[in-house]
This record gives sequence, structure tokens and C-alpha cells, in this order.
Amino acid sequence: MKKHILIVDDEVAICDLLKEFLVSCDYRVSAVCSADEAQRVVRADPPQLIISDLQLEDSDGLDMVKSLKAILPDVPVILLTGIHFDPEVVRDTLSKTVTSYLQKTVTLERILAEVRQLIGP
Amino acid sequence: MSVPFFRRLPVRLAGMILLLGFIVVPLISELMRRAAEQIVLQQAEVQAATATIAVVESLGDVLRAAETTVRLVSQDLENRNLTPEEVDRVIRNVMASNPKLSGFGVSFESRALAAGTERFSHQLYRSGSHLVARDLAGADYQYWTRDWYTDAVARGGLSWTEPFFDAGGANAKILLASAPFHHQQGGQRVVAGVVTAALTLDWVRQLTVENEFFDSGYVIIFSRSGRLITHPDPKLVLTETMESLAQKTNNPELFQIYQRAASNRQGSISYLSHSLRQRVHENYKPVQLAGWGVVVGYEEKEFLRQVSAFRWITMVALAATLSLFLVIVLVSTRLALRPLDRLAEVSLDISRGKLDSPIASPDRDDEIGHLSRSFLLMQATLIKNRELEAKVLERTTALAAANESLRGEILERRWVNQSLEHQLRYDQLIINSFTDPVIVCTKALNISRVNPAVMHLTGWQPPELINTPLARLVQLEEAADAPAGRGWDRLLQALKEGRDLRNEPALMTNRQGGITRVHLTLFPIRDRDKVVGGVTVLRVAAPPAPAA
Repeated sequence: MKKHILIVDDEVAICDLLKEFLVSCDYRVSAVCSADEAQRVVRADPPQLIISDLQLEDSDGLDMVKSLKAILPDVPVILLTGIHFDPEVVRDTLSKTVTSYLQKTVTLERILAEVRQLIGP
Repeated sequence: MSVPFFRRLPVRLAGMILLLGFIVVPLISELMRRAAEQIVLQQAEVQAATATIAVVESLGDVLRAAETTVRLVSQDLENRNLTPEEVDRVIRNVMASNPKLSGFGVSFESRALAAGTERFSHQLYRSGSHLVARDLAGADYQYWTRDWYTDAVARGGLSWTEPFFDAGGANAKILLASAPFHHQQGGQRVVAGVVTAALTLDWVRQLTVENEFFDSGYVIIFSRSGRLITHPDPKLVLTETMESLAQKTNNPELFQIYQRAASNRQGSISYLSHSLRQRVHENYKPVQLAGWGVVVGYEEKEFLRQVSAFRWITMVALAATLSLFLVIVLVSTRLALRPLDRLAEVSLDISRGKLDSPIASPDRDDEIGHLSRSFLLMQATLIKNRELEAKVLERTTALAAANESLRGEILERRWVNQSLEHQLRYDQLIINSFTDPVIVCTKALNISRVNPAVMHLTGWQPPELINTPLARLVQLEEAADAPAGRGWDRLLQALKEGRDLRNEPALMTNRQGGITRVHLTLFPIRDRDKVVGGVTVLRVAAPPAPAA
């Protein structure tokens, strides 16, 4: 059975592109653009991994992640954002909420490596 | 996958041949039997007819000879007066000249020989090689009372008697030919006596024996009255007639034969003989002299036995021919089909993907050889096609891999483009969010980007400012005695050296030409230690405080 990944990003193009890529890597992918939709998916079809942007239209990404972790405490979360954070910020702040942080400038292969590291193929 | 035994071609051919044989062989043999039967019976009939003619002619010859002799002697005795010795001499001469006669004699009327001789009848009969004389004038015979004498006298001409046992005379079963002779008496021609010739039935029987043919052949001779003169059953001779025999044996055909012969007709007849319990064929023909009839018959089965044998020989020959034909067909079909069996196995191997199944090189120049060569060609073509398919598959796999790689690359490029676009947009958002005018310029101090604060403060629209010198919008405020362009040079120099310029007093000109005092801060934009442009941030200067 394919592993389920939830992508949360308010940019549809990024959602579609990332979904197309991860589906081609044999994952089942749900892509939503808002925190509310993410909550609905998490409750209805719990994913094995969440990839989220930091800046969402209706919410802050980190707040959304916290609310999702209240539902699925053990689900790993990759923060995929265009904002560059200093390593100290990533270590001291982000790591308390998310499992991994990637900039959107990284390659898809890098993203795939991170996904496989967290949930396997 | 082998063909079931009873559906194999040689077996089916053999079956058809056997079926044909079971139908054709008996049919042909039956037809040939009938034809042979017809031929054989026709030949037998011809032989029987020939034998009949031979018997009739033989009988006729002898009877004719006897008749002639009697006539000649009677003519010779006409108006002659002979002595007994002369009579004896005449008779002996006749007997010597006619070896077939069993007896001959001359009988006189009363006192016709001599006045003193009441009756005279001198007969000579053969007994072996001797002649036995007999006087028939004795009281025990009284020739003048016998039918052979009285009928001849009454008829006045030659006549034949019915066969009879001449007791006291020939003492044998004989028949007599009698003819009168005459003398002149008182100017009238009167019967003087009768000349008789005797033929024994033994001779007639001998004649039939000589002319018998076939194992089952027989001869029947009957007299004018139908009395049997000869018959295969001696007991019937002189005791039965054709009519009585027909009644006794319940074969009316016998009486028909007698009637037809008596009517001077000849022919043949086939019927089932109840006495013989066989089907017989009889040819019949009248004997002109004496009014006799001759029947030559035979049992048809004697000839049909040959036909039956011929039929069995024919059937055996046909069966042998069919068997040989069957063997030839089986061998030839086997020779023809064995290569086909091999080709069928090869076809099965090929259908299962085993293209290298060996096919024997054809050494025959017939349809099978042509088929084998075609198979070899087909096999070679299939092998070549398989190799081509393998190459195509290899290329296709390579192309698919390349395609997949290309797709991944495209996705990456799209992601990079997307990311870059996002970053640019985000940077623009950041710049746009500043309340202070921010002007991005090139290394040559040409404006490449402005934020909304610039438009708000100056009234200029971005298309009016992009690619225009920064000096159009803002200039460093220099001392009055400073050389012209010094402020511009200082900006250029700072960019060139990669130095910041902070809070430099400057004058911003708006669209309407109005001047606003600002503080200019210039930050060089570095791309890997190389200055590629600069960011100018303007802050509107606070108006000088009024003098106290």
C-alpha cells in the first residue's frame, strides 16, 4: 500500500508540481492550499508525512503544524519554505515543531531523499 | 499435440480403401461371376448343341445307311426269284458291307420264295465276330405275325419299328427298318416279302457314350412314340416314355421336348430336374429318319462350379490387389507425412517460442520439400525478427529510461523555475512592503526596480523610471562649490568599491518637478564578491525645526 503524504501550500503550482513528482515516486499524495483543508484531510485520511509551507493564506504554517500534530502527534513534518532561516533558528525554534526544514530552492531529489529518510519508499 | 490414431491420414485412407474394398470387391466379383456364368453357360450350350447335332448326325448316318441298305436290297429283290442259298449270300454280303448292322434278313410271303415253301425268313445276326443265322418262320416266332413285317407290307414302303426286345429273333433290344419287295403275279405287282435291317440299342447306347461330354452330360434318345431308347438310367429304357417320365418326375419340360421334337422343332430348355435335384440344360433335335428325338443335357452346376471357382479367384485377386494398394498407400502416405509430423512438431516449438528447433534440410524436390524449405525460411525470418524485436525492446527501454530521466529533469527545472519565481516574487514583496522608497539600480546607476513607496512619493510610474538614470529621480546634495557631477561620481565610486553610503543628504525630484529632501543610503548588491548593482533606500528628511 502506498504511503500517504499531505502537501500544504497556498501556491497551487507548487502543490501540483510536488504532487506530480511524489506520485511518480510511488507515493499517494493529497495536496491542499489551506490549514482548514489540511485538518479535514488529516482527520479523514491520516497521512504518514506532512510537507507544509510556512506562509499560508489562512494561517501560519507552524501554527497549523501544531494543530495537526494534536491530531497526529507522531506524524513527521517537513517545512518547505522559501524563507531562509539561520541554522540557529532552525535548531532552536523550528526543530521543536517540525521534523525537517527545507528551502524551496533545494532540488526535488533532495526533497525525495528527505521524504524517504522519514517514511521510507 | 499428436493426431488421434483414427484421425491420422493413413488410417483414414486405409479405412476408405477397406470400405471401398468391402463394397467394390463383392460387387465386382458378383458382376464378373454373372458375366462368366453367362459366358460359360453359353459355351456349354454351344457345346451341347454341337454334341446334339453330332449325335443326330451320327444316328442319322447309321439309320440312313440301314435304310439305304434295306431299300437297295428290296429293290434288288424286286421281281427276282432267289434260292435260299442266294438269299443267304445276299444277306451275308450286306452284313459284311455294313458292320453297323446288327442283323439283316429277308422274309418272304407265303410261297413267294418257291411254290413249295410256305414261309421263309432268313436272318443273320452278329454275335461277336460271328454271324448267327435264324429262321424266323418257326412256330415260336411266326414272322408274318410281327409288326415289323405286317407294317412294312401294309405300308408298302420302308418303315422303322419302335425299339423292342426281339425275343426269339435277335434276342436283343433292337429296332428294325423294314421295306417290302414285290413280284409280278398274275400281271399284278404283289408284295413278295420284306427286307429288314436290325440295329441293336447297344450300338445306339455306344453312340451316346461316344458323344457324351462334360462330367454331368447325358444323352436321351426317344422313339417316334416317345419311348426311351437311351437314358442315363438303363432301367427306364423301353419301359418309360418321355410323357410317362415327365409325369413321374414332375418335369413337364420332358414332355414339351418330345412334343417339339415330334413337331420337327429343335431348341434348348433349362429347368430344375426333380430327379437329379439340379438345374439342367437340355438341347434337343429331331432325327429326321425314324422320327426319333435326341436330347443332350448337362447339369448347369458343373459349369457354375467353374464360375464359382473363378469368382473366388477373382475375389482373392481383387482382395490381394486392394491389399497391395493399401500397403502402397500406407507406405507412400507415411513417407509423405513423416516430414509433415516433424514440421508440425517444429511449428509447435516455434509457437512456444523455441525458434531454434532443428528442421532437417529437405532433400526432396516435391511439395513436401518445398514446404520444408518454406519452413526453414520462416524459421530464419522469425529468428531475425526476434533479434530485431530484442533490439527494439532494448532501444525502447533505453528511450523509456531516457524519457524518465528527461521527465525528472523537466520536473526539476520546473521546480527550480517555480522556486526562482517564488523567490523573486517574495523578494519583490519584501521590497514592496517597505514604506521608504527603495530603488534598485544597476552598477551604472540605472534604475531596475522601484517599490510602491517611490511611486507614492514621486508620482512616477515604474515604466517611466525603469532603465532611466537614478539621477533623474535623486541626486546627492553637494556643496555649492562642488564640481558638477561629483555626487554622481561618488555613488558610482562607492558601487565600484563595494562601499555602503549611508544617510547621505540627497534631493528627490518628483514628477511635477518638486524637490523633496531625503537621506540616501546605498547598499551594493554582491553576487559572489562581485558588485552587480545597488539598492538605494531613501528616507524623507525631517523638515528643519523652526528657529526658536
